[in-house]
Amino acid sequence: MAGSYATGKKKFSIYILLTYLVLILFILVTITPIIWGLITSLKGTGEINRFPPTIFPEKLDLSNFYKVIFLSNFTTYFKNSCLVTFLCILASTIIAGHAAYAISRFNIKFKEQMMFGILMTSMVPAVALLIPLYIMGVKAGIYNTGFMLVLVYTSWRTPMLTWILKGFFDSVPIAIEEAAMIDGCTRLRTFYTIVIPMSQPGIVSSALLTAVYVWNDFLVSFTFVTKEELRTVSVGLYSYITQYGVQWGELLSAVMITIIPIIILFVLLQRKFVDGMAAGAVKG
Amino acid sequence: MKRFVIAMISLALVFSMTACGNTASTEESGGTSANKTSSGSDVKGSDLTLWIFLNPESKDDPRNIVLKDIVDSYNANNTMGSKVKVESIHYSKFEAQAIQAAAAGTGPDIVNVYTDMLKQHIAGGTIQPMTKYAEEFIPTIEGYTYTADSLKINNEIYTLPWESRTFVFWYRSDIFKDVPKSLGELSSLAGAQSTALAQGFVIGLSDGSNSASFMESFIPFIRSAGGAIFDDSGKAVFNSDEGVQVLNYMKSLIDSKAMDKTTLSLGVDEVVDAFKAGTILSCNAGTQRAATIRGSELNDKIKSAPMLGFKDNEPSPAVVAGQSLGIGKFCKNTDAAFDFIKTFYTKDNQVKWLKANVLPAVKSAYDDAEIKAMSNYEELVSWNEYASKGKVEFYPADYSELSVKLVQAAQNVLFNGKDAKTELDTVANWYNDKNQK
Amino acid sequence: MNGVIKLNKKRNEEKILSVIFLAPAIILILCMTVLPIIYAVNTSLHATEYAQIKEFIGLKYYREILGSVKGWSAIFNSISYVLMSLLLVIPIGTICAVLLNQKIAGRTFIRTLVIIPWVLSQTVTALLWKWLLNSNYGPVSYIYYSLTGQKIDFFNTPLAAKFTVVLANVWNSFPIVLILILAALQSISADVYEAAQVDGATRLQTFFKITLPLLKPIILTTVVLQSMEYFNMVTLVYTLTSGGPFNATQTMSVLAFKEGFEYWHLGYGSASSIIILVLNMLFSIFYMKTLRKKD
Repeated sequence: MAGSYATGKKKFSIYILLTYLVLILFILVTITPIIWGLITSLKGTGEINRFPPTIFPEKLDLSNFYKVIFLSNFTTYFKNSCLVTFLCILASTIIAGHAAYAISRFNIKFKEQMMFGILMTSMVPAVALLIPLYIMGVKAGIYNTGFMLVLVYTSWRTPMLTWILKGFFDSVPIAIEEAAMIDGCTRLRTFYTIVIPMSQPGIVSSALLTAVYVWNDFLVSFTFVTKEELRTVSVGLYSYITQYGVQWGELLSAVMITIIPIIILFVLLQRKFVDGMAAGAVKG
Repeated sequence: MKRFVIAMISLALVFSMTACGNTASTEESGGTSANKTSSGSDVKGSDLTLWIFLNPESKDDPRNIVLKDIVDSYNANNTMGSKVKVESIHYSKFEAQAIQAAAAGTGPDIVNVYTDMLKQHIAGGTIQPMTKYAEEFIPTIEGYTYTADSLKINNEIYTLPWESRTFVFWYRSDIFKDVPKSLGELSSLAGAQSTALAQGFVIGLSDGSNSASFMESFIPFIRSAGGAIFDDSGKAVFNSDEGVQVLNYMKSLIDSKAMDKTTLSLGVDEVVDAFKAGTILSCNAGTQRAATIRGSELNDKIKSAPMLGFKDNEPSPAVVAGQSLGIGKFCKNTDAAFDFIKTFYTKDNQVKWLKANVLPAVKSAYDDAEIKAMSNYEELVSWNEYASKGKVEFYPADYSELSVKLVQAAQNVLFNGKDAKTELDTVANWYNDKNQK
Repeated sequence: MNGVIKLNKKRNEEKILSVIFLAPAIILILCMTVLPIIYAVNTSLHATEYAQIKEFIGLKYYREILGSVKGWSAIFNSISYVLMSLLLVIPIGTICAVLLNQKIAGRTFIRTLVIIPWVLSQTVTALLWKWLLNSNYGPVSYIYYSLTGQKIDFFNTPLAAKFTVVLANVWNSFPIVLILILAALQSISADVYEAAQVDGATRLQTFFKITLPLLKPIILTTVVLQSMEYFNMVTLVYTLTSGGPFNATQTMSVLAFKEGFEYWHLGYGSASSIIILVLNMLFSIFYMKTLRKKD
């Protein structure tokens, strides 16, 4: 636990107490809207709109969850989102990883300019790119395919990931690689067998960043895919915001379901994630 | 040097990629056009795509089920051998998606268009006229609400409405013993009923979602006062005395405390939600929202009536709008597309829509025995009666922009002490200048 | 002799590898971002009718935007939105990170709960807050009413709406700041703190004299990443307020979206987007300069 400075004997000092108090305050603020959403999703249709609102559902009503899971195509959307997210993580990490390594290690001219150029491309507002990309997609015959989604997400995430990963590779001591190469290892082998395993946390953290982005994106998914069988969850959520009114119960049930996978992913990876960001971002 | 080499290689790859892309697309279009020419001999059908805001794969809304039913039975029974595939497009982004597709030279074969947005679709190049088909077909629909002439835009028919909705006054019968006689009476009655938490009568003035809540009241009110939004040549004339009267009426709602400042953030969805919660005691809203409104726990105390007008016992002229079907600009097999469109207007299918709380466009649907047995039959008939006095109107292509400007004018009049005439003049002049060029 | 060949071989290998390693990323970026940007710049210089590009009109849209109250107030709203959000997000993220960096029981659990808002999309964030804060049926409004006898107002004055939007944004995005700073904190060696403790520094002294200076680079990185994010943000603001009331929350990106996709003034919308890009670049260059100076 490097860096934790609440060491020593003063275990129940006033500081710790204060820490807990402040953290509890933080938690209250972060989870209240979500808890309120969860409560709403467990209410029956009539009770949802009751005013003054009931704090606990009078009768636990799971019909909203039932409708979302069994009466809509949500399971398909869910599968699509998982697949697209997985492929994007894979593609963007591989592509950005190689690029970042090359910029970090190889003797390339105009490195600085290149890095700034890369950063610049991630500054463009997405709304400006939609119509050009749409037209390109239709011309290339890849509109309305999952491939198009993966392509757009991957290329939009690549600049940011290259930036983060470059910072990370910069912080991996170069001496180990040099030693390996003196031993007769090729550059390629060094990268795959030494640098990548050592950079695992950085890779995990960038993967998680991509996951959250892709999982939540509405704009790209809505624009480039109209087929029901290719729809993703973020677009699926919109089907509860109808022209007849917002169906709060079903919408919020669907929201609760969609945040579960990302939370699980985060819990599983958070240790590595935090470490990864440490090495990567500090130098970036 | 290296950078230059890299750049060259990348550029080469870009070009080869786009080249590949082009061949791929020509191949594809070649394939489909072959399919289409063979179908030219008017018996063959095609694979057709329908873009609509409903989603037949979702079974949680009766309207979706009806659509699935209609599409499935058409696919199974049509004599042309067509197959219709539905792609559901979110209603709030429908126009954007269709116009974008049209710009790329693609789009669905059959498009569902909300009549308010029809001119935007035409201007955006998403649909093609189907006058010939429609003129032949309309007389054969038993009890169709619309005449061919009423649907013409520049002498062409683009879509046929299959649904009609109108905008009515919803009120709480426990608060208002009788329907107020006029808007003036409503203002004072509603004002008296307002409390710190509840507002008596609210028109939402948020500029979100095309300021629908405001426009749904502004248009019938201005007509009730004897004015209009546009004259016959399409010039904006809402800066008339009647327009001023309407804005001043809305201002009087603030003065009488019938509504408060929170209206600034209320769109039509929020107004309906608050009405269901009982914190808004009456409002104007479309009949298509009936099922949602009736989901409230206060349902027993909720009634509807024709939208009130300025004169006693004389409702505002009904505003009618609806969902309609047209043929996509890039549809090759228009025969097949229209053949599918026709199924929406059979009495059987119209009855199905009515059962799912969608007001039909065919009057004979109300004669159906099962419909007559419905518990809300009387209300349905009353809406139909009210709607039949109005007519569907097609708003200009730049209606979205105009309505946001109008609601902002209203906001300024109600809350910033601006003069109604000046504000309306500004908007009208902006609009007329823009469209004169 | 052998060594020179080896070195040459190594250089050649590196040349080839650098091309292979960089090519996919560069091709992707060129095709999917740079090409569309060129297209968007081109659009912004032409008259448009729906999605069709008509005659060349030069910088007319830029002059229109930069010569109007609407344009400047959108730029002002964007900058104030970004600055207000950063002013809250950075201290909150830092405080939270410092607290979570202590060895306390239940640290992982607390961390997860605090970070949850980050996994929600902007749409969901906006809807949740709207549902919670609505003055006519939200629970917060009711609680406030029971205490004061009045309705609370989160959306209906320009100032209140600005703060509400910033609040929702801070709620949604402070966890990423927290993670970045927490990560940086964990990489600071414990020796530094032990030395400080030996010297008898108080906690506050330690924080301001040791921790904060060490965090400066990561804070600056976060600032640039987040300001980019905030400048480009459409969905959250649009869903919460649609830019109202009285255009108080109409940022440049909301304007670009509305003009482009609702009113179909694509040229004007594209020009607005390019202005956002320029704003972003100015901010980033400023950031790079600051960072280099400190190094």
